[in-house]
Amino acid sequence: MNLFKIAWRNLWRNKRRTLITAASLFFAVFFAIIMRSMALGTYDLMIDSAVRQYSGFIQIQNKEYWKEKTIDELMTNSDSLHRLIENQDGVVSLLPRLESFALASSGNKTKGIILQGINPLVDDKMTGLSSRLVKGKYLTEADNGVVLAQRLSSFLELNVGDTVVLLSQGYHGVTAANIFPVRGIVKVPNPTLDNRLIVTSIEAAQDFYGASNMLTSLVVNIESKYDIDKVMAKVKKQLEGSDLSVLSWTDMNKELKQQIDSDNGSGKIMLAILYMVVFFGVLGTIIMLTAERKKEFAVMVSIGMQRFRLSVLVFIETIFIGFLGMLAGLIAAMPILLYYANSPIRLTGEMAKTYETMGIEPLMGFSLQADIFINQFIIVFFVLIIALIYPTIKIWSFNLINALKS
Amino acid sequence: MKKILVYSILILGIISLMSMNLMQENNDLSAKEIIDKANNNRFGNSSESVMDMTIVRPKWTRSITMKTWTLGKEYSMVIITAPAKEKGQVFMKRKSEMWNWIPKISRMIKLPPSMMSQGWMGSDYTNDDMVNEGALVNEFDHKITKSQIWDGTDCYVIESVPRENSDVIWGKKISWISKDRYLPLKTESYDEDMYLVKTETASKIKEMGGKIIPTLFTIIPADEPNQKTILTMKSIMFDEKITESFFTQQNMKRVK
Repeated sequence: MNLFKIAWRNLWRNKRRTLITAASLFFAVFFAIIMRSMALGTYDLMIDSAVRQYSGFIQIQNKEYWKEKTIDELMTNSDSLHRLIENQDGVVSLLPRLESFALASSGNKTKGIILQGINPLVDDKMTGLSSRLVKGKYLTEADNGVVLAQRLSSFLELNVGDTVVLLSQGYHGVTAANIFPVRGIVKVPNPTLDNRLIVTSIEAAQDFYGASNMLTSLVVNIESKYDIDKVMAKVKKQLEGSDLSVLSWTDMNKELKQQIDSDNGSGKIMLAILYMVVFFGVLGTIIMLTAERKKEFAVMVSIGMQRFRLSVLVFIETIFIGFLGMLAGLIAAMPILLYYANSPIRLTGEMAKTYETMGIEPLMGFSLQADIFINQFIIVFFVLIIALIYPTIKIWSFNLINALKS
Repeated sequence: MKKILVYSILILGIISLMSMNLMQENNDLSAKEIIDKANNNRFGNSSESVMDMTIVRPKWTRSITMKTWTLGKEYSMVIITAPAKEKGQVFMKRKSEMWNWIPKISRMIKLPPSMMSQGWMGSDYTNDDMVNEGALVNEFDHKITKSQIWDGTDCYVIESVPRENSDVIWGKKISWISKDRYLPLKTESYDEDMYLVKTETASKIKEMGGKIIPTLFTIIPADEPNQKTILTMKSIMFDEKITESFFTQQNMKRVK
């Protein structure tokens, strides 16, 4: 207890030294938190727009489907399968999907599109498609109309109430051709999908492709994306020996996963460099501090202070400085994080175009995940411990007489 | 005397060379004639027929019923009559163009050249097969290579190589044509690298529509195991009164 009091007073005996050391830690923690939060927040947004709003985190498919993704390798939609999977922990709902390519035509304009047949009510709870309606109405149960992505609708010059002609090859080579009324237009955040997505009810899609009661996939909607591995393992176990396979979003969207991994890796290297610089800064002040206080230490030891207690004292002082810097950094970063976590930064100009060509919505998000902060605290703590090795050795080994004389 | 002998030998030599040349041409002509005759035997001057097409795949099979009209080598029209989902779809070939009418979406589609090598209605027939049937006679050079017994029938084996500037997608075709009735019993199609692409065979020869013709056709692609397309002739009438004006876009929307 006494030691803490002495350490605290020691800190303020030389305010400038304390503040300089704390300031370098403050900047390190401040930038590290912002960098990590921004990186992780942006990944979350990327995953959200590419995965949650489209493919889902886990899909059950015919084993043969993923190789060629042809409409000839479908799976049967059955109640028993639904019951089996829905009863697993962590599974919220199952979303039947029938998805394939088609040519969409209106007037003289034609474009290759993705036609997605969904169960409008169940699907909406995961993807939130209806909340992104720009015009018209959302699909109802077994609707025979379609909802168009916004950019696609402006390319085809289609409006709510118009009809769009779809043409494709269906199940087992059947000619798939039909006319669909446009019920609504939605803004899809993912630019690639916004250019080519048409959504209809699963019944209408099955009729169009001549594949009654067949699906390309059954999307497993899960409670939290952090449970993917757990739920995957359970579903896999249930489907063992069947002709169905279970895929996670990282299997289905390898590009996004790799993009995130490589960006995350370079972010971590940047962070390591930042902490390295800060480490040498802190080490420098500590070496200076030890040299300056050589005489003081010598006096303390000669009037009866144990060297062990003295080194504990220096340890406590340093940790105090560390906490001071970290707390200040956290307090300074927090308002920024809280603000942008709720309203992500929308990029414009060249940067936005770069994002769009990669098929990502040009948004920079911020994450408030607790481990971002905990990790910085742990790293700073280790930086300080390593920097403390020098003064500790000095305290244990200095020559009393020489130090007193100096 | 000696001179006359030399001259006569020379003349004889020239004559024999010329006659060999003539024979060669004769031979060439007859190969083309055989192909032409075989082609005519299959379709007549004009025809109206009902056919079943069965597409066989490793995991499934599918059948389509259709009615077809042909006039010469240049014109043909096909209407799908079953299954219900595809009923009413019409394909028309006019010279080298191919059109598709889909009543459900009221669209007339001209099949682009890029789609010509794709399967027709998901079968092993390519769109090119539909359009360029007549091309076999005029755009290839033909040569009888040998005689061979195929399926119990004595056949001419004719190798056909496309002419230099013809727009044919094949490297060569080899046809087995029966000597007695000039019926095409088997055709092998090779690509530009001379790999076998597919084999078409004809069997179940019987009288139909007043002619003796094969009524069962099978196409087997070479590189897809357990996969084939079977065409069965249900009925055929030859030399019906069909004129060019039958093969129009307007009529595509009307035919039944």
